[in-house]
Amino acid sequence: MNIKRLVLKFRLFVSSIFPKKEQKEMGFIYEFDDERFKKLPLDEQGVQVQKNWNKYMEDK
Amino acid sequence: MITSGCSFTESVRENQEKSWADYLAEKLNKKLVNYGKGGSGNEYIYNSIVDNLDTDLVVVMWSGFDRWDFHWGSFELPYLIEDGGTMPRKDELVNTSTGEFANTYIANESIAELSKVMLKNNLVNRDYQIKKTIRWMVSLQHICEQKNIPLIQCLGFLDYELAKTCLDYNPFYELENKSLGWPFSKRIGGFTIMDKLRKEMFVSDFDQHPNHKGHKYISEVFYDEYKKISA
Repeated sequence: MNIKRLVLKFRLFVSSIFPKKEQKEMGFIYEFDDERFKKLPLDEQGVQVQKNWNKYMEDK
Repeated sequence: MITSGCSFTESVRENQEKSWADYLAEKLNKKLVNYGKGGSGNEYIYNSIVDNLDTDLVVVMWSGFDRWDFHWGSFELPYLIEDGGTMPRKDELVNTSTGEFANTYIANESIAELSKVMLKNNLVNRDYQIKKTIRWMVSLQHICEQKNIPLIQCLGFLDYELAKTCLDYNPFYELENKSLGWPFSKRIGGFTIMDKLRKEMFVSDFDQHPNHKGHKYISEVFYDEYKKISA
């Protein structure tokens, strides 16, 4: 297990020196500025409402 | 067989009646109970499997590390950390009982208040959240081994910091050769289901859930893994 740990740490070190464009935090990332958002069902559009709410609270 | 996960497993999108779990069950000719639920966190996923282990195959796709499940209404508080401790992303607050987004949050301002209290009192920690899920994964593995039930588990997607956190966390290494995609992070030679999906397998550019092509492909990934562990 120790060897495996060292191997992975080395890989992590190398990846930090030569970073690749990696998909970060992917999964539930939505970009609501996209015009196609308007084609979403109403309940999904509601998510955008919440983003606006966040913005409202931050500005406040 | 039983399966569990979040919306990647439930398939809540329009015109998508089937998820990878359905396709996999068809391939394996098994009766399926899919506990996948949109918006669910890993505590829900763990509980849904452990409470229903009267089966001959378990397939789990774990969700985001930063989701929180509660017994009342089963809400989650994801992405608290990513917001820098200022404001919960209300758009990500999901009622895991229904998988519904939007209006649910509006009716539950208390969730936002709870988020703020947790952040203010430093009750949210990324490393802790990551280890918590790894702990559940190892625990499920041990339970399934004890009951002699084949288990296939993987991560649906990844916290970029997982590698840093896990490399010094001993339970992480118990998942080696026993979890699909281990060590999960592409940075160190692993993968998640998201890493396997190609662009045409997402619902759209801004909704990166798997579409029907994605679900079929995911079922093939699991099917290949099933053949390996059955050999």
